[in-house]
This record gives sequence, structure tokens and C-alpha cells, in this order.
Amino acid sequence: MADFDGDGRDDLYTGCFDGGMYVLAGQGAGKFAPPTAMVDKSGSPLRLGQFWHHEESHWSAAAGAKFPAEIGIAGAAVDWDADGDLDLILGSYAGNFYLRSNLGSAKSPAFATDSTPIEVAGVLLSAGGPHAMPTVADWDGDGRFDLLSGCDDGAVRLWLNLGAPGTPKFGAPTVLVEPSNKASDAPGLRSQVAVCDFDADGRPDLLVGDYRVQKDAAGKNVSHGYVWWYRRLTAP
Amino acid sequence: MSQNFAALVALVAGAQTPEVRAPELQSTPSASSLAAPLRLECDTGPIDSGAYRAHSGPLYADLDGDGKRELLVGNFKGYFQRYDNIGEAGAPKLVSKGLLQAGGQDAFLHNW
Repeated sequence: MADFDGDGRDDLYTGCFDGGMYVLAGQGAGKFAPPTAMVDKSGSPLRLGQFWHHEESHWSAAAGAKFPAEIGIAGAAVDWDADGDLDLILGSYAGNFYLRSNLGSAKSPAFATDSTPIEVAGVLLSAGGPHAMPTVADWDGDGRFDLLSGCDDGAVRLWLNLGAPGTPKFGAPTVLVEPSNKASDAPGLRSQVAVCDFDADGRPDLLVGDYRVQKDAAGKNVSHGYVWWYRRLTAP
Repeated sequence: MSQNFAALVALVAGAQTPEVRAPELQSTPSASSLAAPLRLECDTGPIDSGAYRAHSGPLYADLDGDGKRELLVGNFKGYFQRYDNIGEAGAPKLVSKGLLQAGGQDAFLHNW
């Protein structure tokens, strides 16, 4: 959740497997408007590269996209450049991270018309496999936002922010949650992570959603998507 | 849906466009700062998006401004399952509230 229009009410936002970003505008008292596509400053839908053309049932590359082979499937709102408005970290199906800068203001967002690769030591930052599912939180309590992401392999990786305010800089990842061992009683694949203090002990925990296919009693394959709580044992 | 899925598989497999994959930086192992995972349950059993083709995407936030946080779980079909927390601080107790509503109907994204 984030307040994208500065009206004092948090909005829900999400990426989508169709390649777009969507927002459900908060209306207060738990009410939300139906999803609408987020747009860039030109009014075009905010897409990393490919998108699913719903009317014509095929994939297309967004006009002028610098990364036409990528599909943006997830996003995390953060004030990347410390200018007082919310930018977006986009995660791609291939597993990479990009920045979509907000060139507007906190009350009137105007996202750039294209994305910028997020790099570490000159290398495009990767989730470690397909399905980059980013979120941000101050994991180490140093006042800077850090980057966490789920991945197709079920792992959760952490990139601590080593930069100064307005110029984030990430190092090598730490594996907070190991890749899935695919056991029936353990977390599965395609992790999606939220950072929150689930038990109100003052420490940020992880909630991790997953995906699995298991056989039911009749031997039929059945999909499941559970949510797992990883309690933080140590203070940041 | 299946036609769309086939298209995405073909795309990602490189049939239409080159694969875009960055090399992974050397990672360090976990510092064991987390307890073993617990699968979340609600009043009806395990929280599960399986009926919606799975792929749970959780969010734990105060959706209605009552000072207590609720759990929202996005799923592959494009709906959001809502669970209210009726527990005390430090002891969350989740109850299923069906699908998130938006504009008087189920909030829905056409998630191809």
C-alpha cells in the first residue's frame, strides 16, 4: 500500500502477469475503487516491455520500450531518489529489476516513459531466477530502505542498501529464505514476500506466499498457494 | 487462459524474443535470523489461494484504518482474498472475509 496521489489515503497497487501495473485508489474506511492501469507522464500504461493484448489475445511490446523482451510483473513503491515522491522498482518475469522514476510530485505523480536498469557493479540486478517480486523495507534498521525479493525457486533474497539517501547502492544478496525443497510440508515455489511485524514484537517478520502442485487423495494434481510466516528472531 | 499461458511460456522460452537474464551475484547464506516457517491458518483452515490457481501474494496492512492490520492475499486469477485479524497484539487470529471488494464488486485484475 502507498499513497500515490497524496490524498492522505493509502492506495493498493500491484503488478500483474499481463505486464502492467495497477492501482486501486483508497477511498477511506477500507473502501477501494476498482483497479485502473497506472500510467506514465504521457498517459500511456506503465509497462516495462511486453504486455498481453487482452482484446487481440497476443503479446505486444509497449511502443518505444527500451526493454521489449521483458515483462514487468511486480512493483514496489519507494522514494528512490529522496525527492519526496514515490518511484517504482519493477520486477520482471525474467527475474530482473528496473527503476521507473516519478518525475512529478507526491500529489501529482508523473512516471518516466521508460525504465532504467538497476545495476550492481555494472551488472543488471537479478532476483536469482525468474519471477522477480520486489518489496522494500529497512531490514537492518539503518534508516535506509533495503530491497527484498521472491523468486521462482521459492527463495527470498535481501540486498542491503549501502548508499546515501537519494543514491541507493546495493551489494551482493543475502539469502533470507532458502530455495524450496519442494517437500509437501515446506514452503513451495514462486515466493512473494511482504515485510511486516506480524506478531507486534517490534521486529520485522516475513510473510511469504508460494505456489505448489500436489496430488490429492484421488491422485489428481491440485494447486495450492499458502502463506508462511517467518518470525524474526533478532532485532535489526 | 491456457492459450495465454502457452503464449507466455513460448515467450519466456525465447521462441519470440531473446531471453533477458542477468547473471546472479554471489550470494551469502542466511544468517539464520528467522524462525522456521509457520503456515498461516484462518477460521476455515490453511490460508490457500489454490482455488484461484495459487501464487499467493501477501500484504499485511491496515486496510480500513481501524488500527488493526488485515491480511490480503493476491492470487493468480486476479482476485484478492481478505482475512481480518480479530486477535490481540502479538497473537494474530485471522478470519476469512471472502474477496476484497472494490466499487461494490469483487476487485479483479485481468491477470491474463
